[in-house]
Amino acid sequence: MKKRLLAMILMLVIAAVTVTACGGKTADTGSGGETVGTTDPGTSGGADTKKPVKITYFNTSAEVNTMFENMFKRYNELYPHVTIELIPTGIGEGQQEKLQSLYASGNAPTFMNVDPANVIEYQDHLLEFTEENAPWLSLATDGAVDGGTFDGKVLGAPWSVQGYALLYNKRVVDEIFGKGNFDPASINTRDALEEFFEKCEAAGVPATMLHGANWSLGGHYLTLVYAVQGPKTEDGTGFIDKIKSGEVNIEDSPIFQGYMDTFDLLAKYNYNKSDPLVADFNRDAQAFAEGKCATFFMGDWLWTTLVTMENIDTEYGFIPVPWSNDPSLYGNSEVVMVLPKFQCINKSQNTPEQQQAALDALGWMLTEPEGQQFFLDAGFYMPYKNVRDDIEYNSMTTSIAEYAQKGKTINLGVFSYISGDVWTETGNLMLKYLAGAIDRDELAKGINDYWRSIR
Amino acid sequence: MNRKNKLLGNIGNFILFMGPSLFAFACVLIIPFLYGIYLTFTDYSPIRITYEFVGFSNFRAVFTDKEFWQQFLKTLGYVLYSTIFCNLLAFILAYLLTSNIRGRNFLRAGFFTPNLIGGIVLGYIWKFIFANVVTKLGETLDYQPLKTSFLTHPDRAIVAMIIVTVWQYAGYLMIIYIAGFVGIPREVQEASEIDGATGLKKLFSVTIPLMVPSFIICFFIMISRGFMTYDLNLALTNGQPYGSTRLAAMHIYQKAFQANEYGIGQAEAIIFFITVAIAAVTQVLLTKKFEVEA
Amino acid sequence: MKERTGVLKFFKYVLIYLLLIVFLMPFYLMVINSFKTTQEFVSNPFSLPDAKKIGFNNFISAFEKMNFLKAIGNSTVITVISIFLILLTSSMAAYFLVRHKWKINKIIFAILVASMIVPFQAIMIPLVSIYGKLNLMNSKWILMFMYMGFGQAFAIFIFHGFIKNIPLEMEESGLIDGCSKVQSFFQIVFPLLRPVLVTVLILDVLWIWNDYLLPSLVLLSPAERTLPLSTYSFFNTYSVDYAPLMAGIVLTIIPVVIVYLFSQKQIIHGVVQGAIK
Repeated sequence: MKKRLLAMILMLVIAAVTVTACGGKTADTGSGGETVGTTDPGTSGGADTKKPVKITYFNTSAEVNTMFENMFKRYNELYPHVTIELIPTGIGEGQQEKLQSLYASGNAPTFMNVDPANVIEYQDHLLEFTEENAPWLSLATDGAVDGGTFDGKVLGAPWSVQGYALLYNKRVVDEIFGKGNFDPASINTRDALEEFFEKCEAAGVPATMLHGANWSLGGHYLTLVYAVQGPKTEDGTGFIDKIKSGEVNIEDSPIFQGYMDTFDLLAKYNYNKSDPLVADFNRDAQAFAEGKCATFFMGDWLWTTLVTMENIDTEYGFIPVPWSNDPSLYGNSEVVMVLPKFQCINKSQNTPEQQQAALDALGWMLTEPEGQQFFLDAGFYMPYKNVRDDIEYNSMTTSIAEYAQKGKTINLGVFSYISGDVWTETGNLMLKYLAGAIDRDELAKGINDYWRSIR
Repeated sequence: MNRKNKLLGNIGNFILFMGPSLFAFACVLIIPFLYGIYLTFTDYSPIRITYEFVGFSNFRAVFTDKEFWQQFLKTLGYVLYSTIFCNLLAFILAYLLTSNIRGRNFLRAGFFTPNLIGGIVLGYIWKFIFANVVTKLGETLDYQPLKTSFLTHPDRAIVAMIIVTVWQYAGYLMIIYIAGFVGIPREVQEASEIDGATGLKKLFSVTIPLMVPSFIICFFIMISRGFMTYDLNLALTNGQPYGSTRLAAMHIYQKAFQANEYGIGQAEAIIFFITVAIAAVTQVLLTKKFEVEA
Repeated sequence: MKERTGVLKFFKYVLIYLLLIVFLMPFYLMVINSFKTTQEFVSNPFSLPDAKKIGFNNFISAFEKMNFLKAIGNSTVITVISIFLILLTSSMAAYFLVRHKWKINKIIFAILVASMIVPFQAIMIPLVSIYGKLNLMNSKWILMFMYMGFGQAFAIFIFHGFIKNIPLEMEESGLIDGCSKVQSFFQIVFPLLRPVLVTVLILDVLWIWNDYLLPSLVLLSPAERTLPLSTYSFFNTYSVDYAPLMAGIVLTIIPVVIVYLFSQKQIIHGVVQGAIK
């Protein structure tokens, strides 16, 4: 009996090893002799050597891992001496830990797609994009590289633009107001928003929905308070610095009070009012897409979750989130445009050849039509002047683009300077406020204390 | 001469029996752990390129981290309740499933199934259940407390964690208890029956004393796993509502990797480990005294 | 008298089956959902899949997206070899620790037990940085070595308790007959440990088969990925692709169910053996 057991196990192992070996080409020989992070013997980097180069790419945009895989496969077909290996990540929290462990083990990715906060954190490791090494970056639209620039050095290349504000379901709104009667530009004061909400309620439709997650309320909503301080990024970061130094308290700002008044309004008409903190994204997305409420405080990335659903509405638009009753003030008639992710190249733990290969690959991905097509097919809006203009974006992204063309956007550059655990901590305070566990004074105090406690 | 041979023989046996095991253990646990301790005395972080010695400053910072100690206490409560309930349930299940009951194998397999799924996926499924299924149940039964998700109130969220932990580990502990029941030599059982002990009496005077090794193991497993709970914490509550269910391991993790205070996080991990280790090792050594050799 | 025991028995069965329903409910959800779409699942988790729409789409897409064959191959090799190493070395070590009550053995045992409480985060970065500097990453074999090291404490802990139950006389008779220590271990003690061996086997299989964190740190290239690593591709930044995820999980646990059922037979076999002894 024991002999048979042993024999079975042996056969299982042999079978497994065979399957592993046959199941596809291995990109790496397992004995730990990796080509990342070791210095290349001999040849000094001439820009056009056709020596094989392998580089790695770390991606934090989990939902488009496959897009990058396909992109790199195509790139390898065009440039056979360059192999790009994708390091995908899955669940949100694990990404930071994975990246840090890669650095700790000496296997930092050659280039990566990360949050602006990471660009600040890793700036000592990153390669600066200059006129010489990245001429293609000049094709970026004005201001697009600002979010990736620190201390005057461009460390991150932008690739996607997203927007958020109050999404509204066109079909539902048309049913309430009569087709064609609703003009999104009419919502530029809080009173106008309130009137709009009341009309929805009167028609029996819940007016709005808040997603009770700390990234939505802390990362997106609260950041408005900093961003609207002024049209330039320094206005926002300057305000935060003043809070940190104790010169100013956040509650002193009428913008803060205004946005919190609007927040109270949103909470009053929240579809999730009976249990606001559930934060099941699948569920909220589905409810909104099925027309269960008129508006949703969310961004155009919502579309990617909607694409797998059937029998849902497909026409949406954005209205601003007003913070006061003076329509001429910045922020009342604008929606947010944000560059949420940046491409960076590491200059530590790899060779000059690898860095050059990464630069070339990025240039192709971001500014060559064939590379761009991958992003465009996935529905991304790219901030580059040479993007083809015959694309049909989804209704949410189109709405953001319309605001952008009219110049009616809020610059969320301050977003790039918020690192570490700001979203989670201040977001948790917002959740407490939403659930009624603390009042506005305590919320403000919590936010002040948080900024003053971090270095 | 004989003594020297015996000593050599003993050392030889030591290397043979314990060598590979201790070598792997040392390489993979002891050395990184010691290196980790060294790192807490520096301002090392995976993000930085260079680092330097900073003495005890990381440890001093731990004592001012109020949240760490709050969460430590919460974790203690969580561990206590889940250990007690889980062991109770597992023992009862094992007892029932080693007695004469039809469909025994099927039932054993059934109760063991929660272990087949890994921590994170399990957490997401239960999160879905608490948010959608339990609430639907509350709607149909019109029972107010169930109408809102367990996970949106700080106290009930911890209860949810306890429930899922008990669910997850009851089957795991059950099969250890079953192995324990099965390992009781038949002669001992028969001898006690001849002496007139049946049912509950046999349970308490014969079975339980011989099951002490299983108790030690199971309590220890629950205590140590309980303190180290992270996967389930992340998937089920992610510290929500608003950070209240951020148990110790999650707090440490968050400090180290999210707030980028790697040194402080590491120092907290070490302090945490020392405290819990003292408690758990004491538990084991004390209860080992109850062990009866066959 | 007979009636009372009959009623008691009835309640026993009711209790057990009620508990069983609670225990299996998440699985029921998982399995029926692997035949539905995410949208259907979110609206109505309990409903049975639409008879017209039942299809293996989710399974097919999970199979492809996870690169299933390669992943299961990797998982199998890693699990089988690691378990073999763990069981062999830890049973020998536990035996030695029990039979020789030396001071150093007591210290070693205490360290092993204490090590089970070390939170993985405390050694994660040091571990990765040491092995990274030694260029030992991205290898299945290193991963197996790590599992062997990490698995010692728990296995030794369990074996220790059970070996104590084996009477010394059995080995002494063997020694008189001229067996060496090694022979007496493998021929006398080892077979008696069968229920415990199988128990540790199944628990370790579950741990290693479903482990996500360690492989994600050590195995860097996609070709080396284990099953859990491939399953996580269904988690997006905000939402979860429940339907293919459920299908993927079902595919992942089928092998483990088989091992478990097989191991149950072994445990029972051990009972019979013990009786004959």
